[in-house]
Amino acid sequence: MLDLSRLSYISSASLRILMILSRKVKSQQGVIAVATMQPVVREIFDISKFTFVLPCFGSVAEALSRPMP
Amino acid sequence: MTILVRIWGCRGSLPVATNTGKLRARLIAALQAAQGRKLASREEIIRFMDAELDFAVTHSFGGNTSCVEIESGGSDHVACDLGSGAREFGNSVLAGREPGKPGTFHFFLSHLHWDHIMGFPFFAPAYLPGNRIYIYGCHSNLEEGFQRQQHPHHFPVQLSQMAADIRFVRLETGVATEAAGFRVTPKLQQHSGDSYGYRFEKDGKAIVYSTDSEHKLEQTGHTQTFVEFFRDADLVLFDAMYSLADTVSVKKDWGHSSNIVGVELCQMAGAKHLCLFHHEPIYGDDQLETLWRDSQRLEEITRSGRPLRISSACDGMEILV
Repeated sequence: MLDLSRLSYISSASLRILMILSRKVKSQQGVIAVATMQPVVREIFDISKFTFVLPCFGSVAEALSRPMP
Repeated sequence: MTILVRIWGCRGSLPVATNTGKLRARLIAALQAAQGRKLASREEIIRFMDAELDFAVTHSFGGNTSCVEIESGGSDHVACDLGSGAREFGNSVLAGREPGKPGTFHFFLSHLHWDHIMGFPFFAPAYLPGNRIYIYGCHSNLEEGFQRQQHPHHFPVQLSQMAADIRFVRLETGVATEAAGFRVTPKLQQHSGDSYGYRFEKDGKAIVYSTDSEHKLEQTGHTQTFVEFFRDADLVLFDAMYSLADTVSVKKDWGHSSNIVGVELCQMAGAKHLCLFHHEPIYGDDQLETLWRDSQRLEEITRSGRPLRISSACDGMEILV
């Protein structure tokens, strides 16, 4: 679980690395999720369509309360 | 001096056409929006369309594959790629030219994939004696690609039977050439079988045509070479075929890029105008409008200096540089 609350911006390069990390974790039957995005970061996730490929949550508590796929 | 760039084809991979259902949906949307309005004159209708209807109702992003004309300001014609848009380009040139008067054409080829050459057998000036056509590219099999497309298995007229004087000119990446008053520099790009972008410079203006190119911006060396290629460009036509999520997941290494990477590269390079290009053929006009608006919003929330103008290519679009 990545708490992004202190992140004010995310670039395409960082998103690519996040995807590479997600694939590695998935290969070990794990899941990476992100939570607590600031509005600008949330918009970048929406525009890049990363919201379709990584589980996104409003808060860490919400993320931890959900069963991961 | 102003340079006119005209988009004759902007669709990626395959030409697309509208159909009756889509056309009727547009008409219904327009007529619903017009209910209760008194639109007595043509001028009133145009004002209403431009001010109150969605872009995707009044416009089409077009269906022809890549072909972009860059007016030279002289009598020679300059264009990038020979996708299906080249058919209309050729017809337009002939319609505006004194009958029988020969012309000279300079085409710069990104690569030889089908969607970038399929318009040439339908490029009418190639059938007229006296016309001279230069086809520039960096691929060693440039001429062979065109010969194979017009092999009798695929097309009834062979390349050697076309009456114009057709010459293939091999370029080297990074080495500038002069054509119709432009200084043109090719650059190698990441794409299956390689592709090449072109930077056109004239009278202090710079136009970059960069399609069918994948970018991984965490590879800083690669990124820096493209930042320099796009540096201070007045216009960058950029492959924005897929979403970023697609280009790093299911469409990784497919050789295409995204709107987000286009915005980032242009911002880093200090380019003035990004034109989203090589549209995904499965996207409808409404999806392409959303992609364009999203790109403008991204530019707004990530801007740190001069604003970057963002447009989305449509067939028939003219851009003054």
